[in-house]
Amino acid sequence: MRYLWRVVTFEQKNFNLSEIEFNELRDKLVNGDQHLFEHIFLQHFQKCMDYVIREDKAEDDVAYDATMDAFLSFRMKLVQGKVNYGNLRFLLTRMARQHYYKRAKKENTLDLDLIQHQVADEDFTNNADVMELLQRGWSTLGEKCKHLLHSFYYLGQPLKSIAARTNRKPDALRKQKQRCVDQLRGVVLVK
Amino acid sequence: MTEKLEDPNLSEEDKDAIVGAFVRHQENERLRKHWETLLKEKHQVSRKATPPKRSATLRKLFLPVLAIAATLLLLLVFLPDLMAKNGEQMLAANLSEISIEGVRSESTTTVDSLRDQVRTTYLAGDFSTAATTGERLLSLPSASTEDQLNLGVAHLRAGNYAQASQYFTGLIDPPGNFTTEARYYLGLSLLSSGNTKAGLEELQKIRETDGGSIYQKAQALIDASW
Repeated sequence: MRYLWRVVTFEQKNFNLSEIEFNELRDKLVNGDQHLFEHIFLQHFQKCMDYVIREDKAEDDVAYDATMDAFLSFRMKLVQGKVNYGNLRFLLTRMARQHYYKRAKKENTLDLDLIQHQVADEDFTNNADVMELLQRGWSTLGEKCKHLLHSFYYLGQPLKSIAARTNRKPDALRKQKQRCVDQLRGVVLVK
Repeated sequence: MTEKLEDPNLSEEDKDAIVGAFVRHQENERLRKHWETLLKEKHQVSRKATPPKRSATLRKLFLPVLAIAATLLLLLVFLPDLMAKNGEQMLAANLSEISIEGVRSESTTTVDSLRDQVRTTYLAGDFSTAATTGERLLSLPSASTEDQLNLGVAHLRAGNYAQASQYFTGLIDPPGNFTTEARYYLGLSLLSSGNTKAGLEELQKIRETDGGSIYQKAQALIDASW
Protein backbone atom coordinates (compact mmCIF):
# COMPACT_ATOMS: atom_id res chain seq x y z
CA MET A 1 0.00 0.00 0.00
CA ARG A 2 1.28 3.50 -0.80
CA TYR A 3 0.37 6.38 1.47
CA LEU A 4 1.08 10.09 1.41
CA TRP A 5 0.97 11.11 5.05
CA ARG A 6 0.81 14.77 5.82
CA VAL A 7 -0.44 16.74 8.79
CA VAL A 8 -1.30 19.63 6.48
CA THR A 9 -2.67 18.92 3.03
CA PHE A 10 -1.49 20.75 -0.05
CA GLU A 11 -4.75 22.68 -0.44
CA GLN A 12 -4.58 23.76 3.19
CA LYS A 13 -1.15 25.25 2.53
CA ASN A 14 -2.79 27.27 -0.20
CA PHE A 15 -5.84 28.47 1.74
CA ASN A 16 -7.86 25.53 0.36
CA LEU A 17 -7.33 26.79 -3.18
CA SER A 18 -6.47 24.39 -5.99
CA GLU A 19 -4.10 25.70 -8.65
CA ILE A 20 -7.01 26.30 -11.00
CA GLU A 21 -8.90 28.24 -8.36
CA PHE A 22 -5.74 30.22 -7.59
CA ASN A 23 -5.50 31.28 -11.24
CA GLU A 24 -9.19 32.20 -11.26
CA LEU A 25 -8.65 34.33 -8.17
CA ARG A 26 -5.82 36.18 -9.91
CA ASP A 27 -8.00 36.78 -12.99
CA LYS A 28 -10.73 38.23 -10.79
CA LEU A 29 -8.26 40.60 -9.14
CA VAL A 30 -6.91 41.79 -12.48
CA ASN A 31 -10.51 42.51 -13.50
CA GLY A 32 -10.99 44.65 -10.41
CA ASP A 33 -13.09 42.14 -8.43
CA GLN A 34 -11.50 41.55 -5.05
CA HIS A 35 -14.44 40.08 -3.12
CA LEU A 36 -13.12 36.53 -3.40
CA PHE A 37 -9.65 37.62 -2.30
CA GLU A 38 -11.12 39.36 0.73
CA HIS A 39 -13.36 36.38 1.53
CA ILE A 40 -10.46 33.91 1.44
CA PHE A 41 -7.60 35.87 2.89
CA LEU A 42 -8.99 38.27 5.48
CA GLN A 43 -10.19 35.36 7.63
CA HIS A 44 -6.50 34.41 8.03
CA PHE A 45 -5.41 37.89 9.10
CA GLN A 46 -5.58 37.20 12.84
CA LYS A 47 -3.59 33.96 12.57
CA CYS A 48 -0.94 35.64 10.48
CA MET A 49 -0.68 38.57 12.90
CA ASP A 50 -0.48 36.22 15.89
CA TYR A 51 2.34 34.38 14.14
CA VAL A 52 4.37 37.60 13.83
CA ILE A 53 3.69 38.43 17.48
CA ARG A 54 4.77 34.95 18.57
CA GLU A 55 7.80 34.49 16.32
CA ASP A 56 9.23 38.00 16.55
CA LYS A 57 7.79 39.13 19.89
CA ALA A 58 6.24 42.01 17.99
CA GLU A 59 4.05 44.60 19.63
CA ASP A 60 0.35 44.29 18.73
CA ASP A 61 0.03 47.50 16.72
CA VAL A 62 3.26 46.98 14.76
CA ALA A 63 2.28 43.36 14.02
CA TYR A 64 -1.14 44.54 12.80
CA ASP A 65 0.42 47.15 10.49
CA ALA A 66 3.04 44.72 9.19
CA THR A 67 0.39 42.07 8.47
CA MET A 68 -1.72 44.65 6.66
CA ASP A 69 1.37 45.68 4.62
CA ALA A 70 1.93 42.03 3.76
CA PHE A 71 -1.68 41.46 2.63
CA LEU A 72 -1.59 44.60 0.45
CA SER A 73 1.76 43.64 -1.00
CA PHE A 74 0.60 40.04 -1.52
CA ARG A 75 -2.49 41.26 -3.41
CA MET A 76 -0.33 43.49 -5.59
CA LYS A 77 2.16 40.73 -6.39
CA LEU A 78 -0.71 38.38 -7.26
CA VAL A 79 -2.06 40.96 -9.70
CA GLN A 80 1.38 41.41 -11.22
CA GLY A 81 1.70 37.63 -11.67
CA LYS A 82 4.74 37.49 -9.42
CA VAL A 83 3.42 34.88 -6.98
CA ASN A 84 3.72 31.19 -7.81
CA TYR A 85 1.23 28.63 -6.52
CA GLY A 86 2.88 26.38 -3.95
CA ASN A 87 2.67 27.26 -0.28
CA LEU A 88 0.80 30.56 -0.12
CA ARG A 89 0.18 30.38 3.63
CA PHE A 90 3.91 30.08 4.30
CA LEU A 91 4.67 32.89 1.86
CA LEU A 92 2.15 35.27 3.42
CA THR A 93 3.45 34.72 6.95
CA ARG A 94 7.03 35.24 5.76
CA MET A 95 6.01 38.46 4.02
CA ALA A 96 4.34 39.65 7.22
CA ARG A 97 7.54 39.01 9.15
CA GLN A 98 9.59 40.77 6.50
CA HIS A 99 7.33 43.84 6.71
CA TYR A 100 7.62 43.69 10.47
CA TYR A 101 11.41 43.87 10.21
CA LYS A 102 11.07 46.86 7.93
CA ARG A 103 8.70 48.65 10.29
CA ALA A 104 10.67 47.74 13.41
CA LYS A 105 13.95 48.56 11.58
CA LYS A 106 15.35 45.10 12.24
CA GLU A 107 17.64 43.11 9.97
CA ASN A 108 15.71 40.90 7.56
CA THR A 109 17.05 37.43 6.98
CA LEU A 110 14.05 35.87 5.25
CA ASP A 111 13.95 34.88 1.61
CA LEU A 112 10.65 34.83 -0.26
CA ASP A 113 11.16 31.85 -2.54
CA LEU A 114 7.74 31.96 -4.22
CA ILE A 115 8.00 35.55 -5.39
CA GLN A 116 9.51 36.14 -8.80
CA HIS A 117 11.71 39.12 -9.67
CA GLN A 118 11.54 41.00 -6.43
CA VAL A 119 11.86 44.64 -7.43
CA ALA A 120 10.50 47.08 -4.89
CA ASP A 121 8.87 50.39 -5.83
CA GLU A 122 11.30 53.23 -5.40
CA ASP A 123 10.68 54.32 -1.87
CA PHE A 124 9.77 57.94 -2.45
CA THR A 125 6.28 57.36 -1.07
CA ASN A 126 7.70 58.36 2.32
CA ASN A 127 8.69 61.75 0.88
CA ALA A 128 5.82 64.03 1.94
CA ASP A 129 6.75 66.83 -0.50
CA VAL A 130 6.70 64.54 -3.51
CA MET A 131 3.48 62.87 -2.45
CA GLU A 132 1.79 66.21 -1.93
CA LEU A 133 2.86 67.43 -5.38
CA LEU A 134 1.64 64.25 -7.04
CA GLN A 135 -1.59 64.36 -5.08
CA ARG A 136 -2.20 67.88 -6.40
CA GLY A 137 -1.50 66.65 -9.91
CA TRP A 138 -3.87 63.71 -9.46
CA SER A 139 -6.72 65.97 -8.35
CA THR A 140 -6.54 67.84 -11.67
CA LEU A 141 -7.03 64.68 -13.75
CA GLY A 142 -10.39 63.80 -15.28
CA GLU A 143 -12.18 60.56 -14.43
CA LYS A 144 -11.09 58.89 -17.68
CA CYS A 145 -7.42 59.56 -16.93
CA LYS A 146 -7.77 58.35 -13.34
CA HIS A 147 -9.53 55.20 -14.48
CA LEU A 148 -6.90 54.49 -17.13
CA LEU A 149 -3.97 54.98 -14.74
CA HIS A 150 -5.74 52.88 -12.09
CA SER A 151 -6.36 50.02 -14.53
CA PHE A 152 -2.81 50.10 -15.88
CA TYR A 153 -0.74 50.71 -12.75
CA TYR A 154 -2.89 49.25 -9.99
CA LEU A 155 -4.83 46.41 -11.60
CA GLY A 156 -1.86 45.58 -13.82
CA GLN A 157 -4.01 45.39 -16.95
CA PRO A 158 -1.99 45.59 -20.20
CA LEU A 159 -2.89 48.50 -22.49
CA LYS A 160 -3.97 46.02 -25.17
CA SER A 161 -6.65 44.48 -22.97
CA ILE A 162 -7.86 47.89 -21.74
CA ALA A 163 -8.09 48.99 -25.38
CA ALA A 164 -10.05 45.85 -26.34
CA ARG A 165 -12.44 46.33 -23.44
CA THR A 166 -13.08 50.00 -24.18
CA ASN A 167 -13.17 49.64 -27.99
CA ARG A 168 -10.10 51.88 -28.43
CA LYS A 169 -7.02 51.42 -30.56
CA PRO A 170 -3.97 50.45 -28.49
CA ASP A 171 -1.85 53.25 -29.98
CA ALA A 172 -4.48 55.86 -29.20
CA LEU A 173 -4.73 54.56 -25.66
CA ARG A 174 -0.95 54.64 -25.26
CA LYS A 175 -0.93 58.30 -26.29
CA GLN A 176 -3.77 59.07 -23.91
CA LYS A 177 -1.85 57.43 -21.09
CA GLN A 178 1.21 59.55 -21.90
CA ARG A 179 -0.92 62.69 -21.85
CA CYS A 180 -2.40 61.71 -18.49
CA VAL A 181 1.04 61.09 -17.03
CA ASP A 182 2.36 64.36 -18.47
CA GLN A 183 -0.63 66.25 -17.12
CA LEU A 184 0.08 64.80 -13.69
CA ARG A 185 3.74 65.84 -13.97
CA GLY A 186 2.85 69.09 -15.72
CA VAL A 187 1.26 70.31 -12.52
CA VAL A 188 4.39 69.26 -10.70
CA LEU A 189 6.53 71.28 -13.11
CA VAL A 190 4.58 74.51 -12.51
CA LYS A 191 4.35 74.13 -8.73
CA MET B 1 13.50 63.57 -5.46
CA THR B 2 11.50 66.58 -6.62
CA GLU B 3 14.40 67.36 -9.02
CA LYS B 4 13.82 64.03 -10.70
CA LEU B 5 10.11 64.78 -11.05
CA GLU B 6 10.91 68.11 -12.68
CA ASP B 7 13.39 66.65 -15.18
CA PRO B 8 11.93 67.44 -18.66
CA ASN B 9 13.96 64.59 -20.19
CA LEU B 10 12.66 61.94 -17.84
CA SER B 11 12.46 58.59 -19.65
CA GLU B 12 9.16 56.75 -20.12
CA GLU B 13 10.48 54.02 -17.85
CA ASP B 14 11.16 56.48 -15.04
CA LYS B 15 7.79 58.16 -15.53
CA ASP B 16 6.12 54.75 -15.25
CA ALA B 17 8.10 53.98 -12.10
CA ILE B 18 7.14 57.26 -10.41
CA VAL B 19 3.51 57.46 -11.45
CA GLY B 20 3.01 53.71 -10.95
CA ALA B 21 4.41 53.82 -7.43
CA PHE B 22 2.24 56.84 -6.63
CA VAL B 23 -0.96 55.25 -7.96
CA ARG B 24 -0.25 51.94 -6.16
CA HIS B 25 0.52 53.74 -2.92
CA GLN B 26 -2.63 55.84 -3.13
CA GLU B 27 -4.88 52.88 -3.91
CA ASN B 28 -3.23 50.73 -1.25
CA GLU B 29 -3.96 53.36 1.38
CA ARG B 30 -7.61 53.40 0.29
CA LEU B 31 -7.72 49.59 0.40
CA ARG B 32 -6.02 49.56 3.82
CA LYS B 33 -8.88 51.65 5.25
CA HIS B 34 -11.47 49.43 3.57
CA TRP B 35 -9.87 46.26 4.96
CA GLU B 36 -9.54 47.78 8.42
CA THR B 37 -13.31 48.26 8.41
CA LEU B 38 -13.94 44.74 7.06
CA LEU B 39 -11.61 43.16 9.61
CA LYS B 40 -13.27 45.04 12.44
CA GLU B 41 -16.85 44.36 11.41
CA LYS B 42 -16.64 40.84 9.96
CA HIS B 43 -13.68 39.29 11.75
CA GLN B 44 -13.55 41.23 15.02
CA VAL B 45 -9.88 42.09 14.43
CA SER B 46 -8.81 45.62 15.21
CA ARG B 47 -5.58 47.49 15.73
CA LYS B 48 -4.74 47.69 19.40
CA ALA B 49 -2.44 50.53 20.36
CA THR B 50 0.54 49.43 22.40
CA PRO B 51 0.72 51.38 25.65
CA PRO B 52 3.48 54.01 25.66
CA LYS B 53 6.74 52.84 27.13
CA ARG B 54 7.69 54.09 30.57
CA SER B 55 10.71 56.32 30.71
CA ALA B 56 14.08 54.68 31.41
CA THR B 57 14.20 56.05 34.97
CA LEU B 58 10.73 54.77 35.75
CA ARG B 59 11.58 51.37 34.27
CA LYS B 60 14.71 51.16 36.42
CA LEU B 61 12.78 52.08 39.55
CA PHE B 62 9.75 49.92 38.83
CA LEU B 63 11.13 46.51 39.84
CA PRO B 64 12.93 47.58 43.06
CA VAL B 65 9.84 49.51 44.22
CA LEU B 66 7.62 46.52 43.40
CA ALA B 67 9.94 44.17 45.30
CA ILE B 68 9.96 46.41 48.38
CA ALA B 69 6.16 46.77 48.31
CA ALA B 70 5.69 43.00 47.99
CA THR B 71 8.07 42.32 50.88
CA LEU B 72 6.28 44.82 53.11
CA LEU B 73 2.90 43.31 52.21
CA LEU B 74 4.10 39.78 53.01
CA LEU B 75 5.51 40.92 56.33
CA LEU B 76 2.25 42.68 57.23
CA VAL B 77 0.13 39.64 56.35
CA PHE B 78 2.26 36.77 57.60
CA LEU B 79 4.43 38.13 60.38
CA PRO B 80 1.78 38.30 63.13
CA ASP B 81 0.61 34.76 62.40
CA LEU B 82 4.13 33.46 62.03
CA MET B 83 4.93 34.77 65.44
CA ALA B 84 1.77 33.43 67.02
CA LYS B 85 1.47 30.02 65.40
CA ASN B 86 3.61 27.31 64.12
CA GLY B 87 4.91 28.93 60.90
CA GLU B 88 4.93 25.76 58.90
CA GLN B 89 1.27 24.98 59.62
CA MET B 90 0.21 28.51 58.82
CA LEU B 91 2.02 28.55 55.49
CA ALA B 92 0.54 25.19 54.58
CA ALA B 93 -2.94 26.45 55.42
CA ASN B 94 -2.49 29.59 53.31
CA LEU B 95 -0.87 27.88 50.37
CA SER B 96 -3.53 25.21 50.27
CA GLU B 97 -6.06 27.93 49.45
CA ILE B 98 -4.37 28.55 46.12
CA SER B 99 -5.73 26.07 43.64
CA ILE B 100 -4.04 26.10 40.26
CA GLU B 101 -6.92 24.13 38.78
CA GLY B 102 -9.37 26.69 40.06
CA VAL B 103 -7.72 29.75 38.57
CA ARG B 104 -6.35 28.39 35.36
CA SER B 105 -8.15 29.49 32.22
CA GLU B 106 -7.52 28.57 28.64
CA SER B 107 -5.11 30.98 27.00
CA THR B 108 -3.95 31.39 23.45
CA THR B 109 -0.50 30.36 24.61
CA THR B 110 -1.83 27.02 25.91
CA VAL B 111 -3.60 26.25 22.65
CA ASP B 112 -0.60 27.30 20.56
CA SER B 113 1.79 25.44 22.80
CA LEU B 114 -0.25 22.22 22.49
CA ARG B 115 -0.43 22.68 18.71
CA ASP B 116 3.35 23.05 18.61
CA GLN B 117 3.71 19.89 20.69
CA VAL B 118 1.40 17.93 18.39
CA ARG B 119 3.37 19.08 15.39
CA THR B 120 6.80 18.50 16.92
CA THR B 121 6.03 15.02 18.24
CA TYR B 122 4.29 14.09 15.00
CA LEU B 123 7.24 15.20 12.89
CA ALA B 124 9.56 13.31 15.25
CA GLY B 125 7.58 10.15 14.53
CA ASP B 126 6.15 9.86 18.06
CA PHE B 127 2.55 9.46 16.91
CA SER B 128 1.17 8.13 20.21
CA THR B 129 2.35 11.23 22.07
CA ALA B 130 1.07 13.43 19.25
CA ALA B 131 -2.35 11.75 19.61
CA THR B 132 -2.37 12.09 23.42
CA THR B 133 -1.44 15.77 23.17
CA GLY B 134 -4.00 16.22 20.41
CA GLU B 135 -6.70 14.81 22.75
CA ARG B 136 -5.77 17.45 25.34
CA LEU B 137 -5.87 20.15 22.70
CA LEU B 138 -9.27 19.02 21.42
CA SER B 139 -10.75 19.21 24.92
CA LEU B 140 -10.16 22.98 24.93
CA PRO B 141 -13.12 25.13 23.83
CA SER B 142 -11.13 27.00 21.17
CA ALA B 143 -9.81 23.87 19.48
CA SER B 144 -10.55 23.98 15.76
CA THR B 145 -11.72 21.48 13.19
CA GLU B 146 -8.18 21.55 11.82
CA ASP B 147 -6.99 20.32 15.24
CA GLN B 148 -9.53 17.51 15.01
CA LEU B 149 -8.23 16.56 11.57
CA ASN B 150 -4.65 16.54 12.81
CA LEU B 151 -5.64 14.44 15.82
CA GLY B 152 -7.28 11.91 13.52
CA VAL B 153 -4.12 11.75 11.41
CA ALA B 154 -1.96 11.25 14.52
CA HIS B 155 -4.23 8.37 15.66
CA LEU B 156 -4.06 6.94 12.19
CA ARG B 157 -0.26 6.94 12.20
CA ALA B 158 -0.29 5.47 15.70
CA GLY B 159 -2.40 2.59 14.40
CA ASN B 160 -5.50 3.56 16.41
CA TYR B 161 -7.82 3.13 13.45
CA ALA B 162 -11.10 3.13 15.40
CA GLN B 163 -10.33 6.47 17.10
CA ALA B 164 -8.99 7.94 13.86
CA SER B 165 -12.16 6.95 11.99
CA GLN B 166 -14.31 8.42 14.74
CA TYR B 167 -12.64 11.86 14.44
CA PHE B 168 -12.75 11.84 10.64
CA THR B 169 -16.43 10.83 10.63
CA GLY B 170 -17.14 13.79 12.93
CA LEU B 171 -15.71 16.12 10.28
CA ILE B 172 -17.78 14.63 7.47
CA ASP B 173 -21.13 14.92 9.18
CA PRO B 174 -21.91 17.76 9.61
CA PRO B 175 -19.81 18.93 6.65
CA GLY B 176 -17.25 21.71 7.17
CA ASN B 177 -13.95 23.10 5.94
CA PHE B 178 -12.10 19.79 6.12
CA THR B 179 -14.76 17.37 4.94
CA THR B 180 -12.83 16.30 1.85
CA GLU B 181 -9.57 15.80 3.73
CA ALA B 182 -11.45 13.88 6.45
CA ARG B 183 -13.07 11.65 3.85
CA TYR B 184 -9.68 10.94 2.29
CA TYR B 185 -8.13 10.03 5.63
CA LEU B 186 -11.20 8.01 6.66
CA GLY B 187 -10.73 6.02 3.47
CA LEU B 188 -7.09 5.43 4.38
CA SER B 189 -8.01 4.46 7.92
CA LEU B 190 -10.55 1.90 6.73
CA LEU B 191 -8.09 0.51 4.19
CA SER B 192 -5.38 0.28 6.84
CA SER B 193 -7.67 -1.58 9.22
CA GLY B 194 -8.45 -4.13 6.51
CA ASN B 195 -11.90 -2.81 5.64
CA THR B 196 -11.00 -2.43 1.96
CA LYS B 197 -14.54 -2.23 0.55
CA ALA B 198 -15.65 0.58 2.88
CA GLY B 199 -12.33 2.39 2.43
CA LEU B 200 -12.58 2.41 -1.35
CA GLU B 201 -16.23 3.51 -1.13
CA GLU B 202 -15.21 6.56 0.92
CA LEU B 203 -12.43 7.47 -1.51
CA GLN B 204 -14.81 7.16 -4.44
CA LYS B 205 -16.99 9.87 -2.92
CA ILE B 206 -14.22 12.43 -3.48
CA ARG B 207 -14.94 14.42 -6.63
CA GLU B 208 -12.57 16.41 -8.82
CA THR B 209 -14.36 19.58 -7.77
CA ASP B 210 -13.33 18.89 -4.15
CA GLY B 211 -9.73 19.77 -5.06
CA GLY B 212 -7.45 18.54 -7.82
CA SER B 213 -4.62 17.33 -5.63
CA ILE B 214 -6.67 15.33 -3.13
CA TYR B 215 -8.80 13.88 -5.92
CA GLN B 216 -5.66 12.60 -7.66
CA LYS B 217 -4.36 11.06 -4.44
CA ALA B 218 -7.71 9.35 -3.85
CA GLN B 219 -7.76 8.07 -7.43
CA ALA B 220 -4.22 6.70 -7.05
CA LEU B 221 -5.36 4.69 -4.05
CA ILE B 222 -8.51 3.48 -5.79
CA ASP B 223 -6.47 2.37 -8.80
CA ALA B 224 -3.90 0.51 -6.67
CA SER B 225 -4.18 -3.28 -6.58
CA TRP B 226 -6.08 -4.41 -3.49
